[in-house]
Amino acid sequence: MSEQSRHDRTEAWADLRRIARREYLLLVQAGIAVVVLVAIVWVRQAFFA
Amino acid sequence: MDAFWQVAYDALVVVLLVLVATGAVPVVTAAIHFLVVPLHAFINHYGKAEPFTPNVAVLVPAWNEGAVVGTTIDRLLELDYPAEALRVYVIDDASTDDTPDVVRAKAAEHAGQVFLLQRQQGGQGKAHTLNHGVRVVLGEDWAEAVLIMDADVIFTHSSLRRMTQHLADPQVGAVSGYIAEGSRDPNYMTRFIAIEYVLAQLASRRAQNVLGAHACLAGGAQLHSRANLEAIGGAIPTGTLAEDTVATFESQLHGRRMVFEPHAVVLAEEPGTIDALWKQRLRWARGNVQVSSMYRKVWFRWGRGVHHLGNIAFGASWFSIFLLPFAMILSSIGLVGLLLLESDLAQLVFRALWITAALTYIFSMVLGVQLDGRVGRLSWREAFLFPGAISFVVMVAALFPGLIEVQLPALFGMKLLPEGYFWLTLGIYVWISAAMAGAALARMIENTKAGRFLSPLLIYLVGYGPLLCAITVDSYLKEWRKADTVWIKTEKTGRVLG
Repeated sequence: MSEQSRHDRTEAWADLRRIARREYLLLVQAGIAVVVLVAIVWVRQAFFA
Repeated sequence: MDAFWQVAYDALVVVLLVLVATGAVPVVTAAIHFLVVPLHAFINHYGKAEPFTPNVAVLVPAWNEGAVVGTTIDRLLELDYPAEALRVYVIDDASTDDTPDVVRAKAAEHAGQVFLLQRQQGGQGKAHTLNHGVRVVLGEDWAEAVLIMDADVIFTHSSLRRMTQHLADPQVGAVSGYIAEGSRDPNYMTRFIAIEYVLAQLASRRAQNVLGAHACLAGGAQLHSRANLEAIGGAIPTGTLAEDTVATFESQLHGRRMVFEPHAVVLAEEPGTIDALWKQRLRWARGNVQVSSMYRKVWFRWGRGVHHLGNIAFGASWFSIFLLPFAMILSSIGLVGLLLLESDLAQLVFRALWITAALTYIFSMVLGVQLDGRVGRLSWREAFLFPGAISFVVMVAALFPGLIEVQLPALFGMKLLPEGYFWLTLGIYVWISAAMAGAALARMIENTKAGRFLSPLLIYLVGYGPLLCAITVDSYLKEWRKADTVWIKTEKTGRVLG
């Protein structure tokens, strides 16, 4: 394996690990959506129940 | 006799409640689907993926794509992918413009990497055009994977490499990327489509990754392993208007895993008018009607075979979209019937239905606008008004009792009379069905002088979701009447982001 292809492969592994890690962001994004829902339900219960 | 009428009355109320409940099925299914999305953080295919760059033959079906095909080829050759492992085959479907000349020039410029394949007789549909290319690439030993794409889409720099890394797992038969709306000059319609693609791909296809069954790997970016293509017969199935869906189903029925790669971004030019969208989606919707019938022995047969297409969750998700217009109409009928017979009960079930819908909508949209930052910034208004401004008000009315019908009129010193309240309630109950008629009206007037202004306004009022439902209804009617299954190509102008 040439130096260049070894470098490319290392880069490719780094990118793969980066995008796999980025999937954990889904938990934060879903958490934000849940917080918005809870806020709306709280307003309903507090002022419109 | 009184007892008989009482039983009949109670039975009628139960029937009406069941009708209302049909409207809840797609809502609950969608809610479950979106709640599954975050699980993709843990349940995904990255653990089995690794850097892998097989020889890829790219098949580009082209009919009168002279305006876009040159750029498409250039962008493909600039991809972050080993040049010696990439070949581009443009299959000209008897174009009448300069498509063959453009491709021929590119083939001369990049000898051994770009090829022009020509069909003498065109117009049979995308699957036939693709199969011309599939026969050529499978006839040689070179290709280890085949990428099927549309002539107008632009693959971003690392997209292909991010897709091929999943093929390192021999269990994976095909991989698809995220087709993002990428028009350079977006309008209201492309912004609606952009947010729809976020929900239907970045959210929904992640959920399908988790559930292990895929409805459709996008035909604009479908990467097959050679073994998978050979397993499904060495050709893309013809005979329907949904060749990408059928290829996805067949691959899974042959025991291969499908993977959606959300970080492989492919930009596409999408319709900018209601009429163009209608024609494109009518083709897709009719294709789905055909697929529903074609795989009738697959649905809800959990545990049969190596695939997961028989899963209850997958079937519920497929039919929730397929039968959504029916569910909306039946739900409206149920609510109106209950309003006339048991108005308090009607109000109770209406609130339960619309509060569930509102919470699902809020969760999906707040999640959706975060999944693709570019689309979120561009289309946040359309995300907000996806179900339509009027449905938005109905959701507010359901969530916050008294706000619309009491407190708002009171601000102007007004009070709703009982008759006014009845008609307002009736209007709200039938709205989910009436919205589809409003969307159809928007299409009818689009090409009139006033329509240029009124049609977008109508879509913002009635919603983009009901527009898609109206198209689905049209697809039922066209299939029922066995209207010609003509392949109407979506017109492209090359205005995709470079």
